[in-house]
Amino acid sequence: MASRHDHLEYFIHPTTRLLWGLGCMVLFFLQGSWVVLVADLLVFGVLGHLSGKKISLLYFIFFIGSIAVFSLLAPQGQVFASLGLWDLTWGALEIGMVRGLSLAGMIFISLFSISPKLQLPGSLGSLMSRVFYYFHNLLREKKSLRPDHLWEDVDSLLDRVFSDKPGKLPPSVRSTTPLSWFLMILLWIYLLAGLWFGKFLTLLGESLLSSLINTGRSP
Amino acid sequence: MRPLTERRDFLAFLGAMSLFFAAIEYIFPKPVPFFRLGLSNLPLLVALPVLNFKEVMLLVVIKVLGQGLVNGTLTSYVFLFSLVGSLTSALIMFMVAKWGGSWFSLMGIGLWGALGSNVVQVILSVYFVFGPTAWIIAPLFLSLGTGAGVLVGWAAQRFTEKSLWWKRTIDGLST
Repeated sequence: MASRHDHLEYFIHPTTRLLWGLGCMVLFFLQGSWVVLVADLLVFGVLGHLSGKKISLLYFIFFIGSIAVFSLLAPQGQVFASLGLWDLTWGALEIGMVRGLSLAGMIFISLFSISPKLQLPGSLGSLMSRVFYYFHNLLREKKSLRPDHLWEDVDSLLDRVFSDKPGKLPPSVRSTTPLSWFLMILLWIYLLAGLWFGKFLTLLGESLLSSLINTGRSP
Repeated sequence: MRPLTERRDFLAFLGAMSLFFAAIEYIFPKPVPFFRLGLSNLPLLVALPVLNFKEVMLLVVIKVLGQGLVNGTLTSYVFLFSLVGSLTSALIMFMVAKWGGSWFSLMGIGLWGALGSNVVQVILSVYFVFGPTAWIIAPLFLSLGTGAGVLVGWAAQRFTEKSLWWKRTIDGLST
């Protein structure tokens, strides 16, 4: 839910924001290095936070972790640890991590690039703006609901809002500033650089992780 | 039958109701992290007897598109899961309501819809998210989803019996 304030809406038009996000998604899709994916995820997480979306860190850790665990059930590559009969392998871990990070990244990109004020074209667009008009009015009176009289309160709320003459939400969309264009292009350049140096950074990350594991094992 | 513009307005309101119930759902605690009750399906379920096939599908698109815009998941795989799951569920519920309406209450129709949606979502999650090993959690996921479907069906049944607004609106639509 977009329950907090959207700071990005002051600088970027919703349509530009969508196109920016789609550009990020293409570059992010091409990324195969888990080290770069982690870094990208942090950047996207900050942007998601700035766009007022509630991002539960625990939820995403559980999400990525569970995908990695399911991937580890099918061993692939070099064994790095054993739990009884279950061999934990680097290949399976890497596949799971890349898959989990990619899916979480997609959600993060979507969170910061989609604004509820995005105007869809055509008759579907006008229908959606009517949906949001009613939704806005229902939400405005949400506090009038009492848990012990939920049915009656919901009923009278629906009655009140539906009998309203359909109108329009006040337009509060601003145009994209030059500074925003610069920052948006900067993010694309950062993602491109990640693609360029991805292999090198993965090797670096894996050697660091291996030395950490070996240090942990040594007496 | 009321004019098309009024029926479109009614559809828009049902879509808004779906978004509103989805927002209310956040009040209830989740027993499992990926689990959702699916209260946003309630308007679709109660409106099945008064909508034609095209309107049912349009309402699903409105619901999924609206949730994608409000939650910001429009360009993520969540949107795809939601769209495919909801369209499957709506198609099954529409068929059950049309040809088996006299045998099934809204609870039964909701159960069929939940089953269809959850089977499709398990298949999608096996292929796109967790991989083939995810089949081991399918029974738990399907059981929880089916339970939720029954619960939403019960809520829909109660809503149609209790809501004065609903009775008035339906009478108005059919005159």
